[in-house]
Amino acid sequence: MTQKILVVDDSRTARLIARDALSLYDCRFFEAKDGVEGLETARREKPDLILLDITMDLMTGEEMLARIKDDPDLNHVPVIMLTAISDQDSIIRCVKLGAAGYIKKPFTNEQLIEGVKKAITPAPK
Amino acid sequence: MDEIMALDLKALVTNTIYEVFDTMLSMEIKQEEGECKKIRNGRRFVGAVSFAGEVMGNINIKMNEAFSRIITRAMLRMESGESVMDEDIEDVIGELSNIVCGDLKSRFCDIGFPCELSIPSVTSGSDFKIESMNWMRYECVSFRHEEHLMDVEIYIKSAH
Repeated sequence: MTQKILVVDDSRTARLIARDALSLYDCRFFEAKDGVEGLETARREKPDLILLDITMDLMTGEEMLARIKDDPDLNHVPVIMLTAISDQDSIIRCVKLGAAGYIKKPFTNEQLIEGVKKAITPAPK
Repeated sequence: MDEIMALDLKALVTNTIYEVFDTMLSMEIKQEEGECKKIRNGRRFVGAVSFAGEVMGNINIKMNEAFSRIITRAMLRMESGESVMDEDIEDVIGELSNIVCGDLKSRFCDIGFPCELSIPSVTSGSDFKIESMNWMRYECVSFRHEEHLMDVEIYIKSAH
């Protein structure tokens, strides 16, 4: 089944690279340039997965992650952080907020595809 | 600040630059030995990201227009006939600066100097100079791809 993937990043370059990396993956791609636009798009499109940068204007990735997990309509959506920031405190904060994965930039196509598959595939019962 | 002063900033930045050029650009780049080349002639682009917290400072990535166009084409997977706009270059150099500074910020945080990053800013032109004031430590690393050069400058200031 075609998956809906939303990528939220203030860099058009980063959005394009993520989209390119997932071009062979069966998905519909949605983009947002900050957390505010990201939340609006997420509420409208109900994605199966969100790829989320941390350092952004208006609303940071961590703030957006917290709002997603507080939203009963969105809190089931897995979120993978896709960011240049990789210190232990940031990773722990995002995991505590409910991130399903954490991929450090720069990443290879294989790393992103692997992370997406892991987050979307339901855990065995 | 002893831990920050002891860090091999040149090696950290060099590793990140190599990783970015390998994974995102599939381009070979080599660190230039010796003093920084200081790109100052002709039209150029400078990407800058600041960090502030228990340690402060900024990173500037400088390159001439020709190299910035090559990088942009490669990063945005542009066809040979497609024209590269300044806004494309600015976005690519902004993302490159963000990745390099993000890695450095993460190292600082992990050794006990938490800090936050600014949004990248990119300046272009031929008649300007960007310099940081009151720094405690300054490092500059030059990189070469064919005949093109790129400088990465790191300025560290005390937060106190």
